[in-house]
Amino acid sequence: MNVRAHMSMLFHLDKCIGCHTCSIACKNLWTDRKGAEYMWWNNVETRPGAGYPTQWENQNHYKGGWKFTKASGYGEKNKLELRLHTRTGALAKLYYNPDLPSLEDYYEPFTFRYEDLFNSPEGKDQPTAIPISMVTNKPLHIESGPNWDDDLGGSNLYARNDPNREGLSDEVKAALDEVDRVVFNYLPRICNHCLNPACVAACPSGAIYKRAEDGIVLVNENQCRAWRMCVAACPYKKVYYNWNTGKSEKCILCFPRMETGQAPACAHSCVGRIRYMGVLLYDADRIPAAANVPDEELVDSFLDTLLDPFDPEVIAAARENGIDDGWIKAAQESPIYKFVKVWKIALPLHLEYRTMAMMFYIPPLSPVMSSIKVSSIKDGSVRLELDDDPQHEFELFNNLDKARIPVKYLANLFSAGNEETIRRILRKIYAVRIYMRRKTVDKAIDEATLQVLTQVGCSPEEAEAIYKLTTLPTTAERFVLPPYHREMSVETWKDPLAHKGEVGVGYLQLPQRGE
Amino acid sequence: MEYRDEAPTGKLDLVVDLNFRMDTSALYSDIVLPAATWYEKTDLNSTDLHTFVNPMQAAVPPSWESKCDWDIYKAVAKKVSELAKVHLPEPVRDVVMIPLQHDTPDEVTQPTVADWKAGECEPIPGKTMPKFRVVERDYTLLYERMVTLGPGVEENGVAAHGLKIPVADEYQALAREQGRKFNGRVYPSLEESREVADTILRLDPVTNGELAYRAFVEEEHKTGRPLTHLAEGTRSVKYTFADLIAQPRRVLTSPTWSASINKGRAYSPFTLNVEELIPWRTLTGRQHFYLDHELYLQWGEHLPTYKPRPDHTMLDETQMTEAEAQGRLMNYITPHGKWSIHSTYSENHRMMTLSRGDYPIWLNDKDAEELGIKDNDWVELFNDNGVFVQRCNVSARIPKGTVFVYHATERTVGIPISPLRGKRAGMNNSITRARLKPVLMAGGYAQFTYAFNYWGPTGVNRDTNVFVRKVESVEF
Repeated sequence: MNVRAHMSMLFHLDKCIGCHTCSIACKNLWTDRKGAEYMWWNNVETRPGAGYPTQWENQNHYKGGWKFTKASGYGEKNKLELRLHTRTGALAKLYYNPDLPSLEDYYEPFTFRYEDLFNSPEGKDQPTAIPISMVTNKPLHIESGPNWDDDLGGSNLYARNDPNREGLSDEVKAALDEVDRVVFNYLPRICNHCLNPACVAACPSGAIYKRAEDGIVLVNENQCRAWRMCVAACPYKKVYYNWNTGKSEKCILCFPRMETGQAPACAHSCVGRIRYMGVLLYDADRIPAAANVPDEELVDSFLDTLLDPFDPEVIAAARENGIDDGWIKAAQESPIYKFVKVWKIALPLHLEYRTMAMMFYIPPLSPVMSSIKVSSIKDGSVRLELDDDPQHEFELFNNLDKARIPVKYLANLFSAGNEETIRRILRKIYAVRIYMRRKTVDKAIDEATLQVLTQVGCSPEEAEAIYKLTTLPTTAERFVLPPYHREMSVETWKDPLAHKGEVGVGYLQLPQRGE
Repeated sequence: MEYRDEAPTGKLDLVVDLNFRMDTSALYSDIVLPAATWYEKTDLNSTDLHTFVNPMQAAVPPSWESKCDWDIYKAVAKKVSELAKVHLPEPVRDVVMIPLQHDTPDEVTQPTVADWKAGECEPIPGKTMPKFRVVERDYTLLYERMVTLGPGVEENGVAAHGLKIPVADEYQALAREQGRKFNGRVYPSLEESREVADTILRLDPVTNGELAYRAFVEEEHKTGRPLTHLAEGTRSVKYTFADLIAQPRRVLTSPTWSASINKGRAYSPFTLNVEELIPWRTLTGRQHFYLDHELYLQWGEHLPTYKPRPDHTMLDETQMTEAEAQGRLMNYITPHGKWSIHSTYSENHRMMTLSRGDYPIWLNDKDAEELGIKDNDWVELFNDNGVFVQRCNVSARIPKGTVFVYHATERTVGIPISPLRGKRAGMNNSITRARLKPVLMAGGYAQFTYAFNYWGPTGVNRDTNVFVRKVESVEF
């Protein structure tokens, strides 16, 4: 057992209102610079939608993440390699990197010639500040943006071509395109600070590394040689190339804030309070095997790399690895641990990329497709029949196919297509909701409700705990930040690159690579 | 009611705007006075959306020549006083008309409302018509009077909800703590914005527990109900601006509002009426569904009943345009924006980047197809009121037959010339018309008597009908 600590964020998607305060907080803090205009280390996508950069999930096009090949015969082993290129192929392609997103996949950053409002000469009409490119300063016809399909904007072009609609029946797809059936939710995204990061593996200069103490993946700007393999290899498209400095940049999980006891700016500013921060302990030795399994085993193998911080053996091994007691305590109190491992209602995004993303999502609930029946049409007036059947709220619990957001869609996002995993999670969240509704509205828990809890393997105490951490957590409960011991961290006294081999990816790329 | 075909036309003599942005108002002002932002001044901030009083403090001084609003008003007052020595050296007497007031005996001076102007009744000030007062104004003293709190407050106390709350001792304390000499007497000074903030905090029952207690004493006297217990626990609380700097404070329970919020209870309107049996401030002391004011009866608004949707010809905003119209007549609605508090900062390039770099015209995908409009095409909305030209956002989330623009757009960034009208296109309200709802101008009877910020004409519905058409290209 090789125990490491990791800082992880969790997004409760039911609580996201799509306000983008996170994006603005991040933008103002980190990427309000020349060359970084188009970088959105944090962005929020409307789903279904094309995302940013557009269609980033289409790995046939972008070639991000890892390609898994199942052992084909006796004596063969499962194989994992970068989708971008093989190790030898990397050398051949060094000066030719065709899988990069282009300006069209992002957008041409724009502003407006505001000074014209002050300086325009007298004329027939009032002045207007025309849109101009932030790259060329020339007038620009705005055709795209980092949140172009917000709230289903241009849904025929964007929502309809969401790669996650794969596997949905034609009827469901058609329903999603109609005004009375449309549904959307928001998906906030930052760098996933993966356990098995493709960006690190792809970097020919060895400039990207995963910090040992908290798992944050960073680009050493001194080391970066602008090959941009990281940009292509990251399946989440969360590494960006700064055209001004000629270096790659990415989300740093606000480590300067965390080192001073503050949550990352995106989480701190979150209006809906959807974000949680906490420590997870993981076993680095288990990573190679965990990523190298077929899709249907991915969720379990991934969760198995995350360790129980109360297990005496884990604690002993953690201490052995120099993990401070304060971090172990933080891991025990971690809201992420509770949601992911104890209650098992949160998953990372696109496990099938096999980078083992360490940011987690609680999938969103959604209303039923239709619950109001038209009972009669008389004199041109429509009479609506409101369903007051007390069993009605069990309807979705018993039949998730009536939910507006198709289960398959969520499965494509969060469980490598495995619908059962999503059903289990949604049913558990519904069960908690039914239980709390009985408790707060009816002031009594009936047998049917207890049965619902039993069916999802949840005790009343657990339901209350899920409810409390979901709806009423204090800031200190949402952000359980460990004591950062800068005096113990590697960067302050050694070249962190020398420690690359000690992190999760060491098994794939030897530490001496690149230097 | 008499309708006039021709509305009066003309231009305002002088538009002066206090602003910290070159926004649409500023573009159309004769003079823009640079104002300090929220982070450059001392001010109080409160709202009916929560129960806290927040301070604003200058993190940095006001940029360049900008000043906080209070200092701008002071500078204007000072200049007027100076000029008045030449132009208006003597005191001037004005007759001021005061409407019959809510929460006063004015509410019950007449059983029915008749129009004295039309000879329907005898004009009796304070009974069948507004009251009149003669006010003496000495413009040479305008500034000094602005920066001192006058003796009327000491004599009359402060009033709200029909409660007169004595404050003489607080007034005198203020005069001691922040005194300013004027005409040989010391008054509470209002010279600095912080002094104004402290004066407000001292004289408002929700920030001065003793005054909340006195207000409840008054309310007890009026209602015969025991009420002072609601303020006993906070009677000694007196918030100052310094307290707010340390931490925003929650307001106190007071009968000048309608809820008990003691012991951390959330504000819920009218709990004082329901739980403490304080009568509602209506004619009957109860909640009204039936409104027997003449104007309400005339307009059929005396009971909340179903009204059919008005036909577009009733609105009279599309008939003239019909002749030139190419495109289709659709419903036009302007809901609250996603990323702006009304217009402020909506056209900041960063917020524009989160959207589509303009104020998109949202259209249903099938409507768009029928009109030959593709996503991000330029679209023109127009009717008799005006024209709006922006790019189109085609989406299945918009109901058919409706065109949708988030409201309070600025007219500052990326507004093209309207191909149809040949002039700079307008903003979202260029194609709507301000309509006053006549019943909101009812007055002179019961709870319909006027009160500032309580009862009077309010904002109106901004929905209308517009013609929608695609335009091939635009020029700025």
